[in-house]
Amino acid sequence: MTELSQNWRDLPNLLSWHLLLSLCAVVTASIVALSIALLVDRRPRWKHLSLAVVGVMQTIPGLALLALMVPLLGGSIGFAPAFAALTVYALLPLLQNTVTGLSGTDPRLVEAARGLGMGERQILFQVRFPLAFPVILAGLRTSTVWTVGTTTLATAVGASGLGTYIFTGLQTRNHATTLFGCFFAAMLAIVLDQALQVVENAVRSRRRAVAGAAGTVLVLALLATTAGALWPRSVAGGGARAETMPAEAEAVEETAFPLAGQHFTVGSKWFVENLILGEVVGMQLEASGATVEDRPSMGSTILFDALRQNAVDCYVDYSGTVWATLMKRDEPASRMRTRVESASFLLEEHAVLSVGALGFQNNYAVAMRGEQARSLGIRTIADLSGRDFDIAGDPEVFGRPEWERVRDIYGLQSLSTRPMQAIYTWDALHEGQVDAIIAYTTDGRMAEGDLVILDDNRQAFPPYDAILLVSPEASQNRALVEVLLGLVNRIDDRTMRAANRLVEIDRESPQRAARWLWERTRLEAAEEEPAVP
Amino acid sequence: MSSLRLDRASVSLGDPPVAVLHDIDLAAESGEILALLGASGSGKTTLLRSINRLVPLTTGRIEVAGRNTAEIEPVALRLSIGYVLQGAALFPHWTVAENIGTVPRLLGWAEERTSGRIDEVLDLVRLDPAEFRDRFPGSLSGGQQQRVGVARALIAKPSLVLMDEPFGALDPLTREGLQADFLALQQELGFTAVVVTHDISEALLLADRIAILSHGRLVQIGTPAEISKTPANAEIEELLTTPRRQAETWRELLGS
Ligand SMILES: Nc1ncnc2c1ncn2[C@@H]1O[C@H](COP(=O)(O)OP(=O)(O)OP(=O)(O)O)[C@@H](O)[C@H]1O
Ligand SMILES: [Mg+2]
Repeated sequence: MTELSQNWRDLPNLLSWHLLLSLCAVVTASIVALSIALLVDRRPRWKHLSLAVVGVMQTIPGLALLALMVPLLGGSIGFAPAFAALTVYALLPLLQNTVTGLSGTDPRLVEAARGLGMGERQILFQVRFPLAFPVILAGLRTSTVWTVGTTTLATAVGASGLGTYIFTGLQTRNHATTLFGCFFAAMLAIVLDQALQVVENAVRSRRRAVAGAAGTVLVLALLATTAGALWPRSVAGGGARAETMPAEAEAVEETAFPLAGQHFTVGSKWFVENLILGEVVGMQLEASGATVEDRPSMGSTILFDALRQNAVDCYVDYSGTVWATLMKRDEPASRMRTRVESASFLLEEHAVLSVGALGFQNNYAVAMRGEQARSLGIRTIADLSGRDFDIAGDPEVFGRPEWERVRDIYGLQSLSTRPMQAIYTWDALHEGQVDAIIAYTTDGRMAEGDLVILDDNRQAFPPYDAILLVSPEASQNRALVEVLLGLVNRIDDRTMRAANRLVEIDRESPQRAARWLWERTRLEAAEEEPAVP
Repeated sequence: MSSLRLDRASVSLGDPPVAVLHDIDLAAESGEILALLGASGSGKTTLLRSINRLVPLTTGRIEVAGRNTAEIEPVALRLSIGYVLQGAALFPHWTVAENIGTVPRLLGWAEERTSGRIDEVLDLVRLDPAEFRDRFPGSLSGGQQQRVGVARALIAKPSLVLMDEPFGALDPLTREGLQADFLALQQELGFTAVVVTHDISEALLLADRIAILSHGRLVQIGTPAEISKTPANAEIEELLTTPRRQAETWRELLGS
């Protein structure tokens, strides 16, 4: 199946969810904005205050607001935090237009209404509000367009939507997929904008029948489109791995499909390797008869919180990440010690089960262009000390305690850091824009071109074993743990690098790379099979 | 019994308060047309607004049909008085019928009663109900809007009607037609009317009595004949020269 036809297959479901999320946010924001506007009506000081507060919230970057909502809502992920953040985001144009619309009524008409014998409430609802309605509708239009756009970011907190195309496409450098997502998000915004424009024009020109008809058609069309999201997942979702699902799971005997009829949510972080591993875990579960919902491309702390709260059932993390970020340890430790201690920490502190290591390590490494390193005689990370080099790396890397440790151990204060998406660091290095990069040892580009990996002879970077984590609730499910154990120790460094390479260099989809990888783990499992009694 | 009576009524407006009306004594008999004449800013609109309690009195009292307005709930008072606003001030989001039906709706009349009455008042102000009922004010001429404004004030048969320049800003022919229609209408319905104008010819033509305001004070009140015979001061004298001069000009033009 080609990438594009895959994209088309996912479209109805993702589009429905995108629309549903945007609409819920805009509708709620409208109700909130109207209530605030009515409350502050005739209280000028409160009016200014409410506009100022909403205006400030608007200046928080969309992605940050989304991420903030996760802890604020007790660690829940998916629809809820996305909905909350988008509602806040949708508020400003609605409130602004409602407040100015209500304040802008011709005073002579208010005088007329009062003079004829209307009470203040009647003046508000029969005269001022209807007269402000076109202005409020214009605010609704602006807000809708903003929200449909911002909803693409909701992927980062695990909500389904068109952002899935954009995030996955950006990370796998599949521009067709990114554009696919952008195109449909833009189309959705344009169509809604135009439809609301028709309603607004009809209201302005006082063609009530047209306004009513257009409004009704719009609402019906929206309901029909969002209905796709509320459809049972197995029908509308299907997902990438539909073909691996057993035809009639229930009919087959239980031993072959120990997870038949069960449903799991599998998360992944926003980089190629983790996207692939998320797919592999999904394939493993579906091969055992389960249905799986993907939460791809999530922020990494958000994903861990989600696991802790049982909103995600399992995902692949790295022992070094747990060691440094969660345990806040900064002393060097051996590979085995990091694995064991992080596993017991996760279990004791968060009731999260580490099923085991997948077999490979994805460590940090500092890489340079071969000729530059040789001409300057640089062989170890310590040799970088005191040089005014530019070093590029994932924004996450430079925010981590590991980097501070490496910097302090080797005295790298003179380097200037250049945070950028991991996939761009390689181009930056090859084109000479930076002198060194922080790379990942399983990166598919590691074997490309003339590169030198600098020695970490003081073991400043912690070891990063890929480990399979299961949520507190799901770890009670013995059948699930059993199935996941089938992935433990099945992927070595070389195999993982080859799978990454399929996406990073050969431009295959993460699903194709995952299928290749998963089939290899099966192959090797079959070869060893007789070993288990 | 007089229909309307102002007793040393004073009004101050703004912040800080500025006296806009000073000690106005005025009465209108039932069925009388009283013209309020005065220059722009003399306080004509404010006087009307004090009658239906859109502005409070600083001192004095106002009686409508023998009752002190201070003791009547403002909304109830306004519902019982017809009010034609300066420049018609129709609600642009409502049709002609809906505009005219404002007061009946507030009074909770039955649908059919309102609807029938709307057709009646449209006929009274000489607008064809079939043609105008469902049109929006934006599509009406200025004269048609003024007629709708009058219809809106008259629908609930008030015994007192306050009219703020109901024939302002119209061409002379339309204006004359409206004035004639208004006189016929008032004779038929018999309501008391306080009609604001700053056009002395209109006052002379329409009114039973004319009250002249200047800088918030009542300077003269009397029948058109009394006023033109013995103007109270030079300013009113000056006012009267305009229609006289016009009449002479016309006579000369037509005579030659
Ligand atoms: N709300 C207010 N606050 C302060 N001053 C006011 C207010 N309303 C009216 N005034 C003042 O009161 C005076 C009388 O105003 P009013 O509207 O009654 O005049 P008018 O005779 O109706 O004039 P016009 O012929 O132009 O309609 C004016 O000087 C005006 O500036
Ligand atoms: Mg006036």
